[in-house]
Amino acid sequence: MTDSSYSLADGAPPPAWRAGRPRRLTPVLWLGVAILALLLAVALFAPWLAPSDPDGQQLTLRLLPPSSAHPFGTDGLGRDVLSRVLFGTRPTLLLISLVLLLTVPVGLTVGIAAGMAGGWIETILMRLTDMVLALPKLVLALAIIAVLGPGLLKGALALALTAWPVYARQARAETLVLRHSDYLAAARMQGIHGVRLCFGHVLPMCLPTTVVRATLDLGGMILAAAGLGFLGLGVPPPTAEWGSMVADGSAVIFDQWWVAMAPGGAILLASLAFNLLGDGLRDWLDPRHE
Amino acid sequence: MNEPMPTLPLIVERLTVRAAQGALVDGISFCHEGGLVALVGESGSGKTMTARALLGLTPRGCRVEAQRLLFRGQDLLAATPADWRHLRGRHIGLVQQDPRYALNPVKTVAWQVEEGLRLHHRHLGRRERRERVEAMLTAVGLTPNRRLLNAYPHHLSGGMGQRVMLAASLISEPALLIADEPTSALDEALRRQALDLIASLAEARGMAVLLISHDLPLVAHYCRQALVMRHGALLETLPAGELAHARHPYTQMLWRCQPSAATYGQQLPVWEEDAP
Amino acid sequence: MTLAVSMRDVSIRHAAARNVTPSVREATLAIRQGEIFGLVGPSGCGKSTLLRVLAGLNGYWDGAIELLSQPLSPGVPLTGALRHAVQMVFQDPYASLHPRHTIGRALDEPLRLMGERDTASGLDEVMRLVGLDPRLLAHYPHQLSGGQRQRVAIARALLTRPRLLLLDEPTSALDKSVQAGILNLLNRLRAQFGMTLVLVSHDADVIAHLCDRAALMRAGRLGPALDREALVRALTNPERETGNE
Repeated sequence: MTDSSYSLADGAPPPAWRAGRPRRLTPVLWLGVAILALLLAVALFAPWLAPSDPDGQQLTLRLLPPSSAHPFGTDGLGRDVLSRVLFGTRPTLLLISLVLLLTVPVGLTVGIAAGMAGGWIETILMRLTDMVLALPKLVLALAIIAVLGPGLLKGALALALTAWPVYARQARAETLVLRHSDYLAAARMQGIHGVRLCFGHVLPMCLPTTVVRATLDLGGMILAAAGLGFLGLGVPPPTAEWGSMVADGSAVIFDQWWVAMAPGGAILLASLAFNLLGDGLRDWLDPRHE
Repeated sequence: MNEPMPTLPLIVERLTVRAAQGALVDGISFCHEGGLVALVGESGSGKTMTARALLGLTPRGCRVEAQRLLFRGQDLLAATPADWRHLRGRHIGLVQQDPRYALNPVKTVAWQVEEGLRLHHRHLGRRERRERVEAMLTAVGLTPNRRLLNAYPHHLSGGMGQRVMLAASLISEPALLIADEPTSALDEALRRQALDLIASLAEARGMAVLLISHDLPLVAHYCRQALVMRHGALLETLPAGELAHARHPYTQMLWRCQPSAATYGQQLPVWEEDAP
Repeated sequence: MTLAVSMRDVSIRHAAARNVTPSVREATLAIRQGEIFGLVGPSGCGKSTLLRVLAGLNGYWDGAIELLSQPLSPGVPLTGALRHAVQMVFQDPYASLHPRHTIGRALDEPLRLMGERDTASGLDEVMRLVGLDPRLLAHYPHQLSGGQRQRVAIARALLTRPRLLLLDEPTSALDKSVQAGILNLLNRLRAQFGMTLVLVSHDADVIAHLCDRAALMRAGRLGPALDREALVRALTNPERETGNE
């Protein structure tokens, strides 16, 4: 046999793989990204896209059915529904981004910290999580808004306060599985510990499920925000917001269905975008996905 | 097995398994004439994929082609999903690598061993089934007392798990047993025991065994014939006893890379792969 | 001669439970510097547990342990110079590499933690040292074969220039032909760096091939250290073939 002291017998890269090749987006992810991009564009360019002023009341034109002048009809105050739906994209997207920014980092940090630390730190963090989890979501949100007063930012805060525990629970469960894995032991052998270990090594393993969970929840978030709006506790009127628009329209849903239909459709579209995005991202985040 | 077999247990001619990235098994041919025959090679050589093709269990996206694929005269290429369900478990048994993964963790030993009977011997009564289970467990060297019958897989040691797995695949008396690395999860001492068992059961029941292994000394000791695979192709076929004196340098390397007390302080031979 | 490992009456318990019987009882052992020492025994005999204690990954023990003449205390992970001097390679190369880190990332981080700014040359060097093509640095573990992964794991352990390398069944998940390459590599590394290797294995042949001395372990009991001659005799003893269920 030939000298094998330095052989690449085992060392040549597999020819089928080219390193650093960007992973291709799946059709599902594409669709999600496309719809989201569309929503963002609408939010950005609403003033140019909207045919008329979203808050411009014309009481002579109340509850007109869809026509060429008002493609989605007009609402009870004679406002153009299309314009209001287009402008409504702004507070809705802003709200869910705020909720996301508030919940996911908190949930992940609490969950990973609890899972990695163990002992009394874990007990305290998890009991706290359970306490919040036990409170009914909308009731707590109502209580918070009652104290803080209605508004976009406060609405987001109220929703976020009850939404983080699920992420914490999930992250902790995953961390517990990982805690005794060989690769974390190997990282500890290299002197990697603490924050570096949690965020560099544990976080990437918890992220995919969190992303999926978050995107699935986003649809619910939009609906919850709409619920707050419906109760008059979200964005104060007359600002166009999908939830409050549906609320307005529900009074006349049997005779003038378009008033609730258009914002309802927008909520559906946004939820769909986030669900597709979540599904696609999960596959895309996994390097093993070919 | 009262009457002599009209045809050979297995005839494989130009078997090819194609996946999107190329052929995983590339036109291999062999006849299994009974007894223990081994399929040897490194991981990725296509030996497991060959076994899967013989069980109709190739993953989605893989295409199985062959000129002839006969199991006791029955054409496996024409088998419908219903035929496969009947063949698998009933006529072709499978023993897998690791009992920790191959046994159902939430079912008792008795349930798992009995399953083959429930599926393929429906005419048997409950008592008859239980008797056969106990006889089978005895045959694989276990004592079928209440404690074992009601044990769950996590109660079993590796060697016992292996025996239970063997009992479960032999209970319906298959004509062909495919054993995919049945010993690699076992300790050195238990390997020989497990193979002794498979060999003696095969002889007692006239069962053909296709053993998939990368352990050449083990193969040489137990098998009649060895088929050496590399990169999906059949490199050479030789009597297992002659593995030590194989012609092909690759087979020689596979044989001689075995470490032992005699190789202390020496370099072991490794295969120099062609440059990519 | 200085000792790489010295253990006196070490007992190891599983996790925090106080009243369970120890999984390793009163193990006493001395491993010399520069030798390849084997721990042989059937699975579940406690040899891997013992190795994890030496690696500082299991703190539930009592007794006295000195690594490279520095005493350890139970429950205290290895730190400082000892952290660098003692490294470990795990059994399953599929489980010991982070699935979402490229090989480059896995090897780069320890180098940076040691304060190296320019890691590129160091990464190249260590890859070549274990017989891997540096182009593999951009790959993920799942794109590599088992043998390649175990080489990466060995490379990672070598980054801190250890004097004591602990190997937990480093080849038992690999093909024989791939195992041969890893065993050659270990022999070469020992010759090149004069490291002490502690090898845990259930495979008597691997121990007999590689080890200068070894100790047998059974059901939590560690036998005396055997020299080469005694070790070969003990490992080829047919009595060992009897089952242990």
